Amino acid sequence: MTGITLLGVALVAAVVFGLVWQRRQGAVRATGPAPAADVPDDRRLQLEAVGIGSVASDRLPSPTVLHFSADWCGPCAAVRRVVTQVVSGLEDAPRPPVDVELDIDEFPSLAKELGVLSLPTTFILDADLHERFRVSGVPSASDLRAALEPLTRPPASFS
Amino acid sequence: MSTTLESPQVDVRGPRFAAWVTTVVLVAVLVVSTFSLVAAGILLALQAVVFAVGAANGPRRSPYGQIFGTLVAPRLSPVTEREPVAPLRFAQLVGFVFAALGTVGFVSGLGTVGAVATGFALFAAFLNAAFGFCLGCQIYPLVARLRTTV
Repeated sequence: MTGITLLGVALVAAVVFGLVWQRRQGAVRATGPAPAADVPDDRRLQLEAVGIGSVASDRLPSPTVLHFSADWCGPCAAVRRVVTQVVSGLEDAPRPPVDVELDIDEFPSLAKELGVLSLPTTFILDADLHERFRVSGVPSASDLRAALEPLTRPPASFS
Repeated sequence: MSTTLESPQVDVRGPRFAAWVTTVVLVAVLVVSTFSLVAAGILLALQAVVFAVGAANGPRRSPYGQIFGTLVAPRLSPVTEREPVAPLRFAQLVGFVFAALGTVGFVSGLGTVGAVATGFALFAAFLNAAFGFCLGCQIYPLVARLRTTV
């Protein structure tokens, strides 16, 4: 009877797991409000090494959409399309977002620092390099835009 | 800014079809194991061979992939979505490990070991078939990371 019991357990577990996964896929999850603490130096250095957070002096610092991909990742192409669409749609914002795509195989330590366990994984970093949102899977353009748009407005002290 | 290159890809419906066939075979293994451990071991050994061929040659040249390519794909609409091969091969390797372990369990009379290993493989295969979630592919980045750090 062990076989039949395990048959049931495996199928039920797969259905439960699959439904939870389906719900989380592509959801733009907030990873916290604007944190008061500074970004750890190590992370900041690694982000700056790939060109995130360095701004021209005549421009306001901008938020970043950082997405990890790899040549062996199928859905990463879909993420690329969504991010390109959303970022270009906000290019006239006071703080236009920056689109950064990194190959996980080329930047393993940054991927580890940000806790990337699967692909595609996308982050929205605010202008101060704080991680504000995180997406596993392919987000919808409207969800991504809704999360990103408030970060592209000018800071309160400037308005 | 992009750092991504192209890699070999297959029609996503191929691995999905293979996952359904695998699911049916593994269900059969568990059902058969209730009356004959040896028969279950033989059936699971055949599935282990299928996994091994898939891991070694890629999904297109695996037995189920060939069935898909010759009998199923010609009846379907043209390919709309493709996925890279490397994680699929790795997933087949993971499947092989569980199937091999289960086969040893059944053949040596340890029915529980065989059934548990088969249960894990069935969990992964059914998850892939029903939801398109490839568990082995999800683990692949971790392995790729280990490989780059070693």
